[in-house]
Amino acid sequence: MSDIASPAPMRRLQLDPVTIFGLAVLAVLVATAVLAPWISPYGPTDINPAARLQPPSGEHWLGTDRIGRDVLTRALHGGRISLTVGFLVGIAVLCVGVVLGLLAGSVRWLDGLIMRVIDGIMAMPAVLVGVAMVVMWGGGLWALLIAIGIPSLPDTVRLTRSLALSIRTEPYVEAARMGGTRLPMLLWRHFIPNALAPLIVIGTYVGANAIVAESLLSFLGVGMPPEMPSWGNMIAEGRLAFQIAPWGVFVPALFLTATVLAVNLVGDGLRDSTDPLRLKSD
Amino acid sequence: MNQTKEPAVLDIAGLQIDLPIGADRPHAVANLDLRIRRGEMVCLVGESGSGKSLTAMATMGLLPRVLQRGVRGTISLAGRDLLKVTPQQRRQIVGREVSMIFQEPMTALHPVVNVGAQIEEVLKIHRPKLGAGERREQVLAALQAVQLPSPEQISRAYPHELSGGQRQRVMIAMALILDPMLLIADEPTTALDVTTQAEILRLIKDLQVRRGTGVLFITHDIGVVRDIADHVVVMQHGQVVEQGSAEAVLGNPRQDYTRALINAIPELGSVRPEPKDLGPVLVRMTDLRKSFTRRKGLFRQERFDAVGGVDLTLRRGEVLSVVGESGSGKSTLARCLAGLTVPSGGQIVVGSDVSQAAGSRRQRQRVQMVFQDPNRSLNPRRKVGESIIEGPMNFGASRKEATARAAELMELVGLRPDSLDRFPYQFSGGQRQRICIARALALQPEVLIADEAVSALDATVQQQVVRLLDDIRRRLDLSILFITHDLRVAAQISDTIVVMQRGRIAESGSVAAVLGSPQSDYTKRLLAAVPGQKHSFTEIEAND
Repeated sequence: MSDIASPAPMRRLQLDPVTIFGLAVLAVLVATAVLAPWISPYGPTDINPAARLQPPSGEHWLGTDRIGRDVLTRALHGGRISLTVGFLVGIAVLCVGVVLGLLAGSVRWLDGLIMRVIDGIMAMPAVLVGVAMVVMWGGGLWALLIAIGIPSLPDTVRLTRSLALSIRTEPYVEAARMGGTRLPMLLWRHFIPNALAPLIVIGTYVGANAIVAESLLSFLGVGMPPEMPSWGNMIAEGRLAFQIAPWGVFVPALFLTATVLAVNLVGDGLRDSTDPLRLKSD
Repeated sequence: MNQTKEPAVLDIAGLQIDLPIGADRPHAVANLDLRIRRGEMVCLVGESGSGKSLTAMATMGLLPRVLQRGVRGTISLAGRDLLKVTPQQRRQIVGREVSMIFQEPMTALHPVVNVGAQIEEVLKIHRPKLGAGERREQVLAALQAVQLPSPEQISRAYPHELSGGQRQRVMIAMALILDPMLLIADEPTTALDVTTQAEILRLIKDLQVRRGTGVLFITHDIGVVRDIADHVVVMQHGQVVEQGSAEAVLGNPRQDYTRALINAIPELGSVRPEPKDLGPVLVRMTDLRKSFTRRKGLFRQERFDAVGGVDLTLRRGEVLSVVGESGSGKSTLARCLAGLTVPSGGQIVVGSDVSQAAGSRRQRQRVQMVFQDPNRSLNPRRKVGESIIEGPMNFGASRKEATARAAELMELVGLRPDSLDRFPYQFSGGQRQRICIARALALQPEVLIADEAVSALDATVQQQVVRLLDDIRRRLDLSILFITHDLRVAAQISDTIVVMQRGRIAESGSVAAVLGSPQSDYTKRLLAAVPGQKHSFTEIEAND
């Protein structure tokens, strides 16, 4: 149904400078992460014992770590992992959460069931659940995605449910019901398009949190394998030589902050520009 | 009109409010002159978008920021130009001397503070020298003045515990406690039932006459104007079309627009000719019941009957109006017939098919509905054409057939067929209501339910939509169940009127019978409260 995906008001997206800045930062981060192997003359796992803990120089722009790996190269490669995790978790949580939330908000007997499970998830501390799951499944990207994704489900489910509850009483939904539209089509044509704007925003928020969560789990040693250049791993390792070579911590931390900030700025910008109050005024 | 030399309470001269570039017209308000003397009631009339509310907002200093820069002219309050003083001074003057009451008292009151404390807050700010005891006394006196029973109790109540009329009285008490020179009332009775509206109008009129407050009363209802106005200002597209004394403007309007506004208000007397022969019974409701459970306190639940045993028949080609105040169960009745609510008991039979559970897909197709709020009854993210063809396609029509039919329907409801590709926000409220009618007709229903379908529209647009419904009924031999709180509209369109009170039928019969010689007290009260008859307020003016 291509006709649904074309809500006219969205076409006239007007982005403010801050959002454009966020998009630009994000674009640079994505581009450098994708092009990392071609940008940098070093490999992310190339060890050079002769050049250990070197400060930033013409040869190593942002210095080297304890075993002589180029910090910038590793940080760029780390972006691949972080951005992948953020993107995949954002999409996955959005898909699962929206389906659960819509069902909870529109089918009465499912509501209690779904929401109690969600309450259960909320009651568990996210980091501990993550650690437990990764330990149970023995690490790797997929285990990490699930470990990060499940604790961030509740926000999306609850938001979608509350949107569904208010959309359900809209006269246009009642008119469609009277016209014989059944639940799946009702959700697809009427609920989702009208809930889209806040959902995109929460998707960016989930993505940003996932990036932080991945770094946190890696830092704790249960994320990506230690030799992989993830930002969390780099911070964990750089910590050991922090007094001598602070760039080992600062560089990945800076990349992490920039990414999360950019994603959040873009999310806020999208929220503002799809605000129905703004749309109505023209 | 007494033309004394007394300075006007409010004197607006050459007021102009610019709209941002790209709006449909350059000025929201252009070249407006308006003068209110002490104890005078000036009614500002016009349709939505005519600039009447913006005029009030400009006086209060409450304009949206984008418009604030484009304000020119003078707005003088007792000789002081509010546009020349500093914002702080302005806030002080306006706070003390001007009060405002709004359309929706529920949102204008703070929901979690009791109303006594809210009124007291006004005193705390503007009369800081008063002691707590004195303040309390004044609050109770104010509640007494607006004729609320047991002020003590009311002052401790929270807004949600009061009825709409009581809330509006509280708002008026709050507005008048500082004895302002000027009261601005922006559609203060639009959200209220007729009987409550009549009481509130009487109260405002009474306070105006006795206290000598100048009142700027904004309304779209000529009937209300006829009841209360001393002086009338008619606005259209931001400009004053006509102004003068109430008798002159209403009795002998000089402008076409004013005449159109006055003629758009149906008069109760203008009953349509006796019904033509009606067809066979199409809908039969027997002992229809719908009860809801309300939670009362932590554990107690209370059942209450929204509809408590209603028998009703609707014939083919008949227009049956269900009238009553809010909470009378008229909308619940309509929703039961529409299949949007499952009745708790009783039977609804459409045609000859006996189905206890109203709301099967088959039955839904035969009964369609037009909703009240034109802003919410179309999916804002879908082209209107998609909304119209959705139903027929659910029942097996091809996209091509359905679209061709939709184009015909657009023409039938008086819109261009090529606007099917547009989105709802590109249409006005009246046009959207026409689209909703087209959507309902797309399923070729036998019964059309119009649930307050014209209540949110301006009088002239209302009249057009009512005519359209009547025309469609005749052409397609439809039955219409017309739900309304407005007896005047009901009188205009229906063959039969059913008056509902607290979930039951208080009275029913032909329009001429019910409106001409009402039997039940409730109907009589409803009729007496209809604005525009200029009878209930004469005694107050005589006292002055």
